[in-house]
Amino acid sequence: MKYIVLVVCLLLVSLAAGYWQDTTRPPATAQTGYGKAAIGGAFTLNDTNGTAFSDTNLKGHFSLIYFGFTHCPDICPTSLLNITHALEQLGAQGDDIMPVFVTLDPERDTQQVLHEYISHFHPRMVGLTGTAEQTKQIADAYKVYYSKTSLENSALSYTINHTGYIYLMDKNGEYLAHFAHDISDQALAQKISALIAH
Amino acid sequence: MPRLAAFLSIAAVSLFASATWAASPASVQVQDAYAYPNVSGSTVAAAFALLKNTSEMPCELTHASSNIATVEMHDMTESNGIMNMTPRSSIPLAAGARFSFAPGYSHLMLIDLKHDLAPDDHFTVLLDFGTCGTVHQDFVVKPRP
Repeated sequence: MKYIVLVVCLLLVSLAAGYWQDTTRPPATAQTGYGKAAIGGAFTLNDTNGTAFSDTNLKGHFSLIYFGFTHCPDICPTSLLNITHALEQLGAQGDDIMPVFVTLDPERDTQQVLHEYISHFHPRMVGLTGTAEQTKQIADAYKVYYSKTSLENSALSYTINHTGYIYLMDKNGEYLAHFAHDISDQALAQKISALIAH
Repeated sequence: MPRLAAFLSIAAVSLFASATWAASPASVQVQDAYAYPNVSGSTVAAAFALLKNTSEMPCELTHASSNIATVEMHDMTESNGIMNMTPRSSIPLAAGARFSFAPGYSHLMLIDLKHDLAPDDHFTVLLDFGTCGTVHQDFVVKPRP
């Protein structure tokens, strides 16, 4: 009888301990899980002033990162403008978010070209470019697919086919969320606001 | 009788000729032609329009040109999250068919712009529809939404 009481007590204590640990979040179910996406990581590029910019520069504030290239006539400018408008709509919340544009075409998108290009978007937007190896390093870290593709019968000798997600990183420079390139500015602002509010 | 025969012959020839005559240039209507400004620092831009083949003959957009830039027809497709831009040599338009150059999809890419495009600017693009004729289409530059 004593053993039964002891076992029951131990069981109750362990259950209570388990409840206490999990009280901060609901349990995982078949539809949800927990864990950090393996997106983000070490990289080193240069900003448009020629200053080195690495993953450590993402710490201390949120970051909204988009990968593209300046010879992209339609999608990239639209996405960058939506990012700009979303940050404006976020007001004070937006002040703590650094918008970043990383070129996947460092051959054509030099610091000078990028400097002019990003000046037409959010005033705090950082433009990053580097060597082919540095570009590959950040693309690999962010799981960005990109491919320099030769074009025949075109005034463009090549284009860059690529994935076009917008990445939200937290104040530790770690992945928070990603959004499709065609998300509207209003939807982007709403989703970011909800994610960084707590 | 000879006059009637002559008349009928001329009528027959005329009908035959009109049947094999190329569709008039008005066979393809171009509507809602516009472009977004380029981002200064980049000399490329995208232009859009709706093409309608209003004839009963097949037409084909074989070439586009302008004095402000090199113009190319491009598809923009997305597969597994990867965006691919691909030049096209022509756009077929079956009788009665439509084709849309629209943001996020196919576009007329303007390459090596001779000057920046600003909202309310206008420029002309010569659209060559082969035997269906050519259209000198005015495009207006609109601000990006």
